[in-house]
Amino acid sequence: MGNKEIEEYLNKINKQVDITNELLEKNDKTANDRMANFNQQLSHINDTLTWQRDAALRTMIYDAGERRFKIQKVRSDIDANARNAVTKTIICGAGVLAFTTFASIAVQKMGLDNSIIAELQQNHELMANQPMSGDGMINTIVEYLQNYVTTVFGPLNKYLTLENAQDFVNELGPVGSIAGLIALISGKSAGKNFNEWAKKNRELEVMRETMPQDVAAGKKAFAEFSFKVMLESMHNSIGKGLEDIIKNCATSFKELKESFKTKNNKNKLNMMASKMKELNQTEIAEENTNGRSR
Amino acid sequence: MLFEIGTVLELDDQKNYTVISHINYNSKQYLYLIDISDNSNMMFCELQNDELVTVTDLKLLEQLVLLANKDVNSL
Repeated sequence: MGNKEIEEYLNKINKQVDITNELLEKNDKTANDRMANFNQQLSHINDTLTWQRDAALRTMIYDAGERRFKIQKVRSDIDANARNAVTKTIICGAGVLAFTTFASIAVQKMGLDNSIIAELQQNHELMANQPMSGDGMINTIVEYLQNYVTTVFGPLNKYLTLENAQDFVNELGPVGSIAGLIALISGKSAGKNFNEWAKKNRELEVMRETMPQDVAAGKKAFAEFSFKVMLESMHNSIGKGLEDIIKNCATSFKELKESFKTKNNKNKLNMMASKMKELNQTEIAEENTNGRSR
Repeated sequence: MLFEIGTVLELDDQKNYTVISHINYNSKQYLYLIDISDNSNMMFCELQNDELVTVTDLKLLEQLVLLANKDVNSL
């Protein structure tokens, strides 16, 4: 299921929610049936996304079931050419790990299912890089990560809210530094970002030696800085107003959750009212019976 | 055997992979490897003597991604 299809699905469900709410207000008898249908659809989306996550991980990490390899050679002494290729590969590998973990924290904070990350990753085409050196290597890494940021964080941005964005900072921890490093080389203001990042890193190093008791606070500040750079970088890479997106945090998921909550409450109230009516009628009937028997 | 980050392994598919992370988890050893000449070819493998077996358990994969990220960040 692609993003567009999910959107269409959610729109369809949102329409159903509206209809159900109207019916509930009118005390329509079919409301409960529609509610059951709506719950079924939600459950279907959840099942589909879970299946998609499995498919995505298969695509990303393994695609031919269990495979066995024999190790032919282990080398740690490699020439300069190979070293460049290895460095680039390590940065790309660490980048994928950092973004996957960051995205995972992000969706948890937004109250979404982790499967959405895999859904996005499934649509992401990892670039097949050739070994190179110097500026060429840096450009390739930048392109690779921009591709990742655009594909994975682009669609994810619409779920960001100002509240949960601030909350991420506390959860970032060690992810912050590597994510920040990656973000600064993938942003448009890479040079400016890099100088500032290097300065902060030096400050942190000095702090480690001179004021070890303040390292935790320094790390937190560093993570906050990294997060800010990352958001800016995402904004630059994606080329649309991230701030606007954060400010306009009304998302179909959030609306869906809200309307579901409201509707559930209305439904509960209706059920309570109907139970109360039943109880009252039973009590009246019992009183009448008792009165007659007395 | 200790496989540090950046160690190059030549496997019997005639490709060279580099170690991004070496993880000890539940008394087993796992490697996160990426093909040096094709970075889209990445895999998590369990180390069994001189053989590597790709991980196929999805829950374990998710756990290994988190552990590998912590490992890379702690360098």
